[in-house]
This record gives sequence, structure tokens and C-alpha cells, in this order.
Amino acid sequence: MNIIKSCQIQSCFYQLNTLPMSVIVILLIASIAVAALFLAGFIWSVKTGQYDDEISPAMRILFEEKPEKQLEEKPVKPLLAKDIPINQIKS
Amino acid sequence: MQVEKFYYDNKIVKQFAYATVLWGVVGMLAGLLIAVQIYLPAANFGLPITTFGRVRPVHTNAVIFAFVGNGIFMGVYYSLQRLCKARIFSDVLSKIHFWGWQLIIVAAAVTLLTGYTTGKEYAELEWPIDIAITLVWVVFGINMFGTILTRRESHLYVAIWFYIATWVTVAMLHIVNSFEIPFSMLKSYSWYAGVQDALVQWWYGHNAVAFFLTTPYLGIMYYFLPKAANRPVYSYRLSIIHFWALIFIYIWAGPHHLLYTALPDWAQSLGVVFSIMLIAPSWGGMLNGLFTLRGAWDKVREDPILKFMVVAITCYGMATFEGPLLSLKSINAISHFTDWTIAHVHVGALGWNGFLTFGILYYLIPKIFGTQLYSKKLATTHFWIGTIGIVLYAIPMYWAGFTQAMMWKQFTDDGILKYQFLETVTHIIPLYVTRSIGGLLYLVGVFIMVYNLVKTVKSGSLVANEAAEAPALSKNIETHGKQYWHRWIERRPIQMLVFSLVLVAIGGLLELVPTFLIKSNIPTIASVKPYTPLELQGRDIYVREGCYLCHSQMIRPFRDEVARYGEYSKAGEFVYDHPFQWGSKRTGPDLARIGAKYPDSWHYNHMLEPQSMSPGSIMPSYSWLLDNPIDTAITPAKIRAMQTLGVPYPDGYDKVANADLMAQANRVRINLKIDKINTDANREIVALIAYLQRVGTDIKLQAKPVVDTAR
Amino acid sequence: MVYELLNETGMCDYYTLTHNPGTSQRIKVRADKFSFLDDGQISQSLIHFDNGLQQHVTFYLPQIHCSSCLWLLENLHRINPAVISSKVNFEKKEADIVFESSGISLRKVAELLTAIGYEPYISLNDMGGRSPGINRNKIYKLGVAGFCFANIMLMSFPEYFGVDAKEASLLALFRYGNLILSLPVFFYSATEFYSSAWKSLQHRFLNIDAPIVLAIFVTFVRSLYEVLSGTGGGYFDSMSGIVFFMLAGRVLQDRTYQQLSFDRDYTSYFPIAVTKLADGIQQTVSLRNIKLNDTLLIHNEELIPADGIITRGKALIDYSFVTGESIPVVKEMGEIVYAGGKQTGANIELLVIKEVAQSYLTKLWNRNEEGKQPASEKSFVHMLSRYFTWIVLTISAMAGAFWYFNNQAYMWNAITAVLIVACPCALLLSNSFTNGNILRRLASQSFYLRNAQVIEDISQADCLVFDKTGTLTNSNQTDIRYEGMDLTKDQVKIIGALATQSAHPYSKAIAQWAGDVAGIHVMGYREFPGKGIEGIVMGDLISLGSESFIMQGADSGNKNSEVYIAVEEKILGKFVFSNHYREEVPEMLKKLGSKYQLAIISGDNSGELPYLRGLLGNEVALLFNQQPIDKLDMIQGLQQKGKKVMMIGDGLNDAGALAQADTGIAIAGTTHQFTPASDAILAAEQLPRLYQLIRLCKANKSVVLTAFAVSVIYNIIGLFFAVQGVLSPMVAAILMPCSSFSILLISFGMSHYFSKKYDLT
Repeated sequence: MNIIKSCQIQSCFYQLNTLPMSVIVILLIASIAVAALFLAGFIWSVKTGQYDDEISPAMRILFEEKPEKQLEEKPVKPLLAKDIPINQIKS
Repeated sequence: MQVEKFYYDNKIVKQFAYATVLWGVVGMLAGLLIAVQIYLPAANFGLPITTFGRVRPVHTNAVIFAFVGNGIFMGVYYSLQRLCKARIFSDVLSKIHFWGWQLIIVAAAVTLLTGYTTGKEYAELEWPIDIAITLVWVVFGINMFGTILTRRESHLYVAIWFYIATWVTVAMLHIVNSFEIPFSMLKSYSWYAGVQDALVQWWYGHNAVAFFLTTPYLGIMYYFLPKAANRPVYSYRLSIIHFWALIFIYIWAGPHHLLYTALPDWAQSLGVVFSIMLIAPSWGGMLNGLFTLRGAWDKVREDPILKFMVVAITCYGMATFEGPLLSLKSINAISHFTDWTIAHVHVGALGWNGFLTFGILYYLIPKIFGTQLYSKKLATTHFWIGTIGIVLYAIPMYWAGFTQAMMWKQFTDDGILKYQFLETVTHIIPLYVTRSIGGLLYLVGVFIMVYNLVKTVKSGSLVANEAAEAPALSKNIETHGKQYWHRWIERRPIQMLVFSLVLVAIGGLLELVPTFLIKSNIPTIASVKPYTPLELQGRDIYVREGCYLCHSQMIRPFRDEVARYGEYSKAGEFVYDHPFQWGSKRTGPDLARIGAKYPDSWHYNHMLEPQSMSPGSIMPSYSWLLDNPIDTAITPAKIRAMQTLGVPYPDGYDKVANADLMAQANRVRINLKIDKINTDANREIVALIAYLQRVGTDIKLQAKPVVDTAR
Repeated sequence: MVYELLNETGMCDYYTLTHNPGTSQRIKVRADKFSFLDDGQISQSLIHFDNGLQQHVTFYLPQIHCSSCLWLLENLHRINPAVISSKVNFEKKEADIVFESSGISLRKVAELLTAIGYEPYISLNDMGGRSPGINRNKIYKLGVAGFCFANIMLMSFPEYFGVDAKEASLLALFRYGNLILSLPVFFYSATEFYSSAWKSLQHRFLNIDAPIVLAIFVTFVRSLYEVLSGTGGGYFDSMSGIVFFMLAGRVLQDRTYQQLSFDRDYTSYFPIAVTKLADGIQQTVSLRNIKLNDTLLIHNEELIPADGIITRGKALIDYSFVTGESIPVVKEMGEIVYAGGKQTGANIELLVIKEVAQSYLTKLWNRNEEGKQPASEKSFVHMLSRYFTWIVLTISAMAGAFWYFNNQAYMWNAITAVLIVACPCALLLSNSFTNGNILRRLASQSFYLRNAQVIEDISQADCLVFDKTGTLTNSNQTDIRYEGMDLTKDQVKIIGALATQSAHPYSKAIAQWAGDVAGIHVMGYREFPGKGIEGIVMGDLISLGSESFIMQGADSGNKNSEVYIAVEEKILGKFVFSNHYREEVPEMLKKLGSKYQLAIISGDNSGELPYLRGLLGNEVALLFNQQPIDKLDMIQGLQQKGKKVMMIGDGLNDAGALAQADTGIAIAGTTHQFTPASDAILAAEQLPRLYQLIRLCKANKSVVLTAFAVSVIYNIIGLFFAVQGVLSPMVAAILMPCSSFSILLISFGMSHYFSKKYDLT
């Protein structure tokens, strides 16, 4: 794909006396490459079931796993549980 | 296998936190100084290093890369460890990262103040520092991905995705935008010229905002807001959608910074469309943040931390709504080059980045010092003072921007411009004053925070290594269904990353080779010639003193601008501009057609004492230019560099360049002498005058108007 | 018990976490309840990863309900170090547990969970290995489509905003870029529609996807031609865009309620293993291995897995599971008990007379295994799309013909353009997005539908059949009413005192009615199973029991559930028990009665008949003493009369009927309670709002149509250009997102409006 493009750039450079926007091709390549990278990331995360459970991760970050005898603070305040009735989670 | 006990590294977090506060204060002080200089030229103290043109880049770089930068690292190093249930990958790398970054900041401050700048806004740092940044960024990357790899929690929380996006994209942006040809230890010319340079620069410029000031802070928000409010984020699904949508759209909004410029229409419109589309994901994030607090507003009432975060998120929403609006051509026609832009960015900077950072500091310092915040009362005071500060800052600036734009565009009934440019400036000075007061208040708030935090730190002791425990992540936790290739990637994000960066590199090179090795940038306008050595020197002085920060060199095709400055700018005029000097703000008038407008003596006197030529001018004096000799030793190197970039100087011209330089310098000297001004020929002022007299004149030399490549 | 566990391991703050931590620590389970997990064969089928050192098992824990459940369960390793890690899937209510096989056995893990209040539910159909994970292909396709769409759009703008003539080569570059990016969309993302279209064609039926596929093909081919011939930029952006949006709609519509299972077969009800008595020795056998003439030992609170004859002990069998009737029935030795009942008395021994698969219930179940074929093809959307398609084809033909005679150059342009612009994507979009929204709104009211088609089935139903016991009434509550001569305080006390002696639900109810009877002694207490009880309290001989028991054989044949009271052989009066109707249910029935043909079928006696008659009038069919099979037949009968039947039931006994009905709605006390196979699951407390919920389903169609109608406007605009053969890619590219977004807004807005209107928000 890159080959095609670069060839075209070359050829067009010869025929045209100028190409103010030739630089956009760099930006294009860079951006699409990055986007593609993120697409890969997306597919990976779906495939590995990263998004199978969209409820617990949000809660899990609130717990702080202190080793025994070090639980100064409560992982969760009561309101949390009331806050998340099943049917609300579903939507 | 057993439950593993491990320790979070709070020391590095502490260091970054301290750096954040320190550089925040420095950057804001610089900001306050330049804010005052705008209405009080005396505040420039007649010294090069304290003059607006040099302090302003220090301010922007300090707040963006030093204050927010360290803020990002603070937030990431704190949250990433806890989200991954693992200590940061390598303490050594953490140290290198921290000290490396602080070194870069110091180097940046020094070089900028001494006038070493690329002349590209938000990318002013010169090539050695650019390289250093790249290295430190890589170190940061290793640390981040290393931690992700050694994590004990299989799920990657959405915040981590934001961090990854930040790292990858910033790396790419920095590399692409920093292509430059060094011609001395500290100076270089941008690889791109004119229009191309502008496009790349603002593609970078906008995404710097997007991926340095926004995505990392969104990630941080998604961690710290739920923690501070102690309730899960409103909708985790929304946060995921929000992330992926943002990622796929953001990258292309850049060109909206160049509306009505010599950039081709379609490229401009591209920017507009994508900017508009950005509203959706941005607001998705904002609403998700605010709804997280639904039903907990009572908490917000007493908790200053939440107060800060709420305002931050609201400002984020406002800024991300205003941004797309500003990118609409009709609105941009008014807002661009005025203080409106300044207001816009400061709503984001002071509100979103600033307040979120403060909120996090108040949350995190007590935590890592195992104590309580010294005084909630003071924090709340800080909040209110800061908020008032923002209001006092933003409103006058919006007002100023709007008034000035209106005044620029006004004609009398017999069709001549109603106001001189200078009138439009003096008219808004009261607003500038109010703005600086707003800034001052904001800074006062920060000092209150510093006191509060110092007290807090004193009352506790740093838990340098915070104990934690979690079961090791057993690799094959989800072993149902057949999964092959992705499991490979799963264990190898690094490879995936390297692979992708290589991909970007190859793609880039494949384009660069033909684009730059072939002599493609031959001008469309026959009469546009390369700068003479003297003009080149003068231009570099223009860049050095940061003239582009107050003077644009881009006349847009509007009646008033053409009437005020002359024929509008064409893409073909800039083909030898490494870097482009279009500027983004008109504190002073546009200079695209300054050439041959005034006699040399006018410029001489104007540089010596601006007010003598235009009474009431707020421009600082550049008296040192009258004494400093031109550094002719470097001329050949500059010529050679330009030649590599495809500027058609005859072969071996670098040898004779200085002869031409002196010849032209003498002509200027004589011109001045005629006006009873005695000066040596080899003074910087001479070079600058030569350049200014050249700017925008080429196009006048040619008989018939050219085909305009821009539209 | 939990507390001690937590205390030992320094997790006392567990109780401060939430108001009701781990709902049911109180559940008592038999010590060796999980002994069957020691059976290698069984445990192997449950453990899905084992490397000799560690084993992975996934348990279904219905009790998971709040954040502290999450916290506690993911801290198992603190309670027992042999547990390496445990990860909760909140949506599935499952816990993935990794443990050292050397340190703790599968059984111990299960018992540990039970101890902290999360008794794993292990059923026969877990034996078949784990259920396959949800199919994620659509999401990948969506992702790819999104990526390509964004970038194609990006590279199309230069074309639209007019690239300078000098940059023609750039243009070519962009076009080829688009071409390349469109390939994944065409060959991967869009396959979703190809397959379904192909299927429908195989059934000689033109479903909505067929014309869409046609449009996609035409668009792609024409764009390909334009780019390769350099005559234009093609419509790649429109194509990928529409694919993207349609996929998005499908994903939204296919939302799955992972924590609910709509089609459980009997195996999910039955225990995984039972205790078998072979010449005196107890051994655990998996249900599948139960043979005829085996002797099973059924413990208290255990389910009877297969029909059999009681060979020892006295059975007190609670068939509520089967009939919804909570009052246990007494079975003596030698009597036959049917699978599905739960032994509430002491242990009994059972001689298997039918294997599990042959038992009465399972046969009933299997009888309509085939059930009804998926109705998705019947949807009005497909009908609509067919007309639509014909119209479009005619228009394009006409346009083609017109240009053929006038200016042939335009002919193909016009034909293809028409097909591109007027594909019924809009219809599909509005349908899938609306369905998605409605499903979400219903779910937020704890009304979970198996799939989008059910919405339409519900809205078409014209005849509602209710199961009474457990559905209209609440099995756990019985109303008690005393009839007869007034009782003195003492009499009340002594009656209560006697009643307290027995565990029979009626006795319990009476005891409750009588109130505090502390310190009153009962002498000579005797219980006559299935008849009544008697004893001497304060010197009087009191007997409580059935009419026949008290009146010595004289049986008036009265079917009401009554308990007579006699003091010293003298009859004082009787207690009349009646089911307790769920709140607001009568009102709901009245409301529905005015709109629908109603029928109520019940497994138990006709005691309620008069009440219901009074409530619903005479035209409502009220059937009592219905066997499961009768219910099923009754539904079929109605269907033969051309009725679209909606069955609302709860128990296993309704399973057949639910499956037979056009729409089967299962009532669940809690979202994790087990429900028979059904098209929808409705939380019991929402039953009173059934009427509104149905209304919302009806609204669905009008929303779809409105959204569609609006989007058709865009199609017409497009056609206006298309027939002239001058449809520019830009116009198409503008119309496409416009129509898509207006559909989005309308379907979202209207479904919001309707759910507000029926106050379902």
C-alpha cells in the first residue's frame, strides 16, 4: 500500500511543478497506522473478554487490597451497594 | 503459587507531585509576568531574557509540559500501579524518567530565554532537547508497558487505555513534527516549509492539546473521580465507547487552526468536520464524569476535592463544546488571531487541567503520606479564589477578543477602515488588566494550596513503599473457546507496540524519501526568490525574539484585512519559509506585507523605542539589536542547511554568502545614514531591517497576478 | 458463620460494607451435600482447566448482587490460602476460581462458598461442559467497519471540498486508499448480511437483508468501476457508513442478558447427583447413571429426580416447584411420587420406576422439544421491506428505461444510483435501533426478552392465559380466615399451642395466627399424616385437621383448603386458607380483561373460583385442577381457534404451556430464581405493570414506522437525484448519515416518550 502511494507521489512530483499538500500523505500514513494499531488493540480487548463484564471493573477499582491487619479504610461505603440494583446495571 | 505481597512505589509519585506544584508556580508566574507586560511595556525591563517574546514560550511550555506533564506522570504512576496491582516496572527507569524530564524542563527554560527556539508554537524546543524528550518518553513507555505486562489484574481499566493512547500518539506526533535540519549545536531549520510546515505544525499543535492535555487527563479522571467520590463511574460501557470514538476521530481535527489561511480549502474543511464530530465523544466523557456524582451532590458540597473535579469536568465540557464552534469558518473568521483563542485555551488549561490537578493533589498527597489533609477550609478557599480567578480571566478575554475583532472589521461610510490597529489595542487594555488580576487570583489560590500541602506533608510521613497484596494473574484465566494468535499478542504488547511504531516509521520514510529528496518545492510564483543571507540572518533574529507570538504573517481574504495590510497571502509565497511564521495571535498588526512599507530608519527607531514611532504602542523595546553584531560565522552553515532543504542557492554559494551579506548590510547602513542614523553594518538591527523590508514584497514584483494555489 | 470466617481473617469490615452482605448466610445445607463433587467423573466435567497443580472452575452463584459480594468473593484467598484467585463476572453472576488441587478440593471450594453465603448452583446441564461464550464476531465486524468508515470518510473529503486541479494525483491516491479500506468492509464486515440474506433465499423468502445485500453489491461494484476507470470517487464512504450503522444497530439489538437463561431444560432443575443405596452402602451417582429399580436416598430439602415408589419413610412432598402450590402433599409408603417434587420431611427411600429422561415431567418437556420454529421471518419488517424492494426495483427499472430511450450514457448511472440510494437500510436501521431501545427500556423494568422478535410477538398477542398459583398469587404467603363460633382467649392459645407442635404449613400458619403461646404444654401429641393432629392441652383434647378427619369420614366434598377445629370432639369452627394474591394483581387483571380474552388455569383446587368469578366476570375461562398436560392442550386449543396466545406462568408445570404459547412469559421472584424455558422473564413485583409493558411493546411498531417514514424522505431526495443519473457521492454521503442519525434520534426519543407515557421510567 505504501509502495503504491509513494510511487504515485513520485510520478506526480515529476509532472506537477508543485504539490503543497504532499505532506498530508505523511500525516495520513502516520494517522492511519496509529488508528490501525488501535483497531488491533480493540479487537484484542474484545477477544480476550476485556469487555465481557462491564460492571465489576468499575467497582473493582474502589477496593484497596491492603494486606491483613492493615485495613484502615473501608473498601466501600454502604451507598455503593444500594446504588447498583441489577436492572440498572443491565441497561 | 500464593497470594503475592508487593509494594506500591509512592516515592516517585511524591517526586512528580512536588515537580507538578513547583513548575505550576513557575509557569503561572511567567504567565502573570507576560500578562502584565502586555499593558505595561516597562515590565519587559529592557532585557532580552525578560522580554515578552522570550517569556511567553517559557510560560506555555512550562504550564503544558512541566506543570501538566508532571501532573500526568504523577497521576499515571499513582493510578497505574493500583489498576495493575503491581509496582512500577523499574525504579531505575522511574528515576531516569523523573530526572530526565526535569532536566529537559530546565534546559527548555534556559534555551528559550536565551532565544534558541524553532519558532513553531508549542514545539519551540530545539533539536537536542527534542531528542532528549524522545528518549525520556521511551523510558516512560517501557515503564508503563512493563507495568501493564507484569500486572496482577487481568482487566485493563479504561484509564489505562487512555494512557496507552497518550503514549503512542504523542510519540508519533512529536517525531513527525520535529523533523528538522540542525546547522549548529542548538539551532536547526524545520524540515517542512511554509504551508506544509503550517499543516504539520497545527496537526501537531491540535493533537498536542488532544493527546497531552486531554486523553491522559480523561484517564486520570476515570480513576480519581470514582475514587474521590467512592462510587463507580456512571456507565463503564459509555466510558469504553467514549474512548474508542475519541481515538478514531481526534487525530484529524488539526487543520481547523488554519481556516482562511493559504491552506487548501478541502484540508481546512476536513479539520472543521472532524472537529464538529468531536463534540459527541467529548461530551460522552463529560456527562459520564458528572453523572458519576449523581445522588452524591451532598458529598460535593462538603468535599473540596470533588468541587475541583466537578468544575474541571464542566470546563472540559465547555472547552470541548466551544472548540468545534470556533472551528466553524464563520465564527473562526471573528475569533482567529484575537484574544478569544486565549480565553478558550485558558478555560481548558485553568479549569480542566489546573483544577483536576489540584483535586488530585489534595486527594493523593494525604494518601501517600498516610495522613489527613491539613485544612479542608483552606482547600475550599483555594477552590473559590481559583474559580473567581478563572471567571475574571475568561470573561474579559472573550470580551476583548470579540470587541477587537469587531473593531478590526469596521469601515466608515466612505469605505475606509474606521480604526487604526493601535486604537483597537489601546481600547482593550482595561480588559488586559482585569485578566491579569484574574490570573493573579488563580495564582494566589495555588499558593494557598502549596501552604496547605506543606502543612499536610509535615503532619504525616511518606509511605514510600505502600504494602499491597493480590493473587498473581494466572495467564490462562479465560481458557474457554479456542484463542490462538491474540493470546500471543496478549503476552506481547511490547512487540505489538514496536511493530506498530516500525509501521509508522516505514510509512513515514516511504513518504519522506520522495517528498524531500526530489526537488519538489519549486515555487508556483516565479518572482518568489530565496532570502538573501542578510535577510536569512534577520529572519532568524525575528524568530529568536519571538515576534511571531504577537505578529501574524498571514493576511486572510477578508475585505478589512486586505484593506488594512494589503493583498491576501498565497501559498506560493512561503515556499522558502523554514519554519513558517504565520503566527496565531495579533497582539500587534500583521506583518505579511510590511516590506517596503516604512523607511529603514522607521524600523530602526521603532526597535529602539516603539512608542516614539507609534505613541501608545505596547511593544517592548529591542534596543540590544542595535549593539549585537551579526553572527556571520554561522552563515555558510545556514546556507548549506537551506540547500539540503531544497532552497535553490547556487552550488558553493555558502562560500560567498557572507560577501553578499556585507554588501547588502552596507546598503542598509547607507540608507540609515541618509536619515542621520549612524550604525555599523554588522549589527543585528541591520539584518532584521533587511528581512522586514523583504517580507511579502516578492509578489509585488511580478506583472500579472498569479494563479493562487490556495483556492 | 460468615462472621467467624471473616473475623479469623481480619475482614470484619465486611459487614460494614453494605446493609445486606451476602444475602443468605442463613441457608442451611446438609453436611455432605457437595460430596458428589468428590466423584472424579463429576468434578472433571466441572473443572475446565487442570495442570495437576492448579484447577480452574466456574461456579454460578445466584446470590451475587452487590459490590461487597464482589469484594468478598474476590478475597477468597484470604479465607483459604489454597485458593489462588477468584474473579467475579457480575453480569453472569459467575465466579472463576483458581485453586491448588493439593491444598483444597473442589468440594471444599463449594463448601467454602456456601459457608460465606454463596451456595454454588450446580445443575445437571453444567455437566455438558461450559456453555460457549457469547459470539463476538459482530463486534469485530463493527470495529473493522468503524475503523474503515472513519478513514474512508477522511479521505473522501478532499473530493467533496474540491481538490485543486494541481493535486489530481493526490486525489487518485485518496481514491485508491478508499478502495483498499473498503475491502475489509465489503468482504468481512458485511458478511453478516450476506449470510442471512442467503438463508432467506434458500427458504424461497425475500427477507430485509436481501435488498440490502443487493445495494451493497451495486454500490461496491459501481464505486470500483468509477475508481479504476478514474471517472469518480465512488460511494465507498456511504457503503462502509451504512454497514457500520446497521451493524451498530444489530449489536444494540442483540444485547444478551447473560445472567438469565431463557431456555433451561429440566436438567438445570435437577441436582447433579443423588445418593444411591446399593445393598446398604450409600454412594453418589450422577443423575445420568440412575437406572430402573435403583434405590435412591432422598434427603430433606432434596429434589426427587425420577418418578418412583416410596419404599421407606413418609414423604411430605412440596410440588410448588412443579405446580406452584406450596402446601406439601403427604405420600405414604408404596405411593408413587413424581420427579420435580421436593421432599420436605425426613429422609425417604425411593425405588426408581422411570429413568430420569422418561419421567413424567421430562417427557412433558421433551414432548414439545421442537416447540415452535423461530418466528423472526414473520416480522412485519420483512413484509414491509418486500414491498419496498419491489417499489425500488420498479423505479430503477423505469429510470433505466427512460434513459435507455433518451440518453443511454446515463442509464447505468441512474439504475445503480437508485439502488444505492433507496436500499431499505433505513428500515433495517430504524427496526434494529428501536428494538434495541425498547429492549433496554423493558429490561430496566426487569422485563427481559429473549430477543427482539418477542417484542412483536407480545404486541400481537390477543389472548392472555395466566397460571394462578405462584403467578397471580404468591406461593410463600397464605391468607388464613377463621369461620365458626367465637373463640375465647384461652381457646386461641391452646389451639396455637397444639399447632406449634407440627411442621405442616397449615399448622404453622395457625400458630402464627394464634400468636404467643409460650409456656403451654401439650400432652399426648399425635400426628395423623395427611389428616390432622391432636393432643391434650390444659386438659382438653384438641384436634385440628381435615373435614374428614374431624367429622369422622363425613366428607362434604368441599374442595376448599380448610382445617377444622374440635375441642373434646366438639367442632368449634374451621380455618379457611386461601392463596395470597400479589398486590395490585386484581386491578391488573380487570384492566387486561377489558382489552384481551383472559383465561386462568390453576393446578390446585377450585377454592378461589367464586372470588375470581366475582373479579373477572363470566366470559373469562377459569380452569382448576389442571395437570401440566391439560394446560398445554388448552393453549393448543386456543391456538387452533386462531388465537395468538400469551402464557404467563411460573412453575415447571407451566413449562409445556409456556413453550407451546406464542409468547411464554415466566414470572421470577428474583432475577436469579429459576424459570422454565420461556420467551421472556418478568420479575414478579413488576407483574402488576404487565399491561403497560405490553403497551410499550405495541408502541415499538409505530416507532419503527415513524423513524422509517422520516428516513424515507431522505431516500426520496436521493432518488430525485438518482433517477436523473446525477447522484454525486457527496449527496449520498450527506444523506446517509443524516437519515441514520434522524432514525437514531427518533427511535430513541419516541421510545423514551412512550415509556414515560406508560410511566415505565
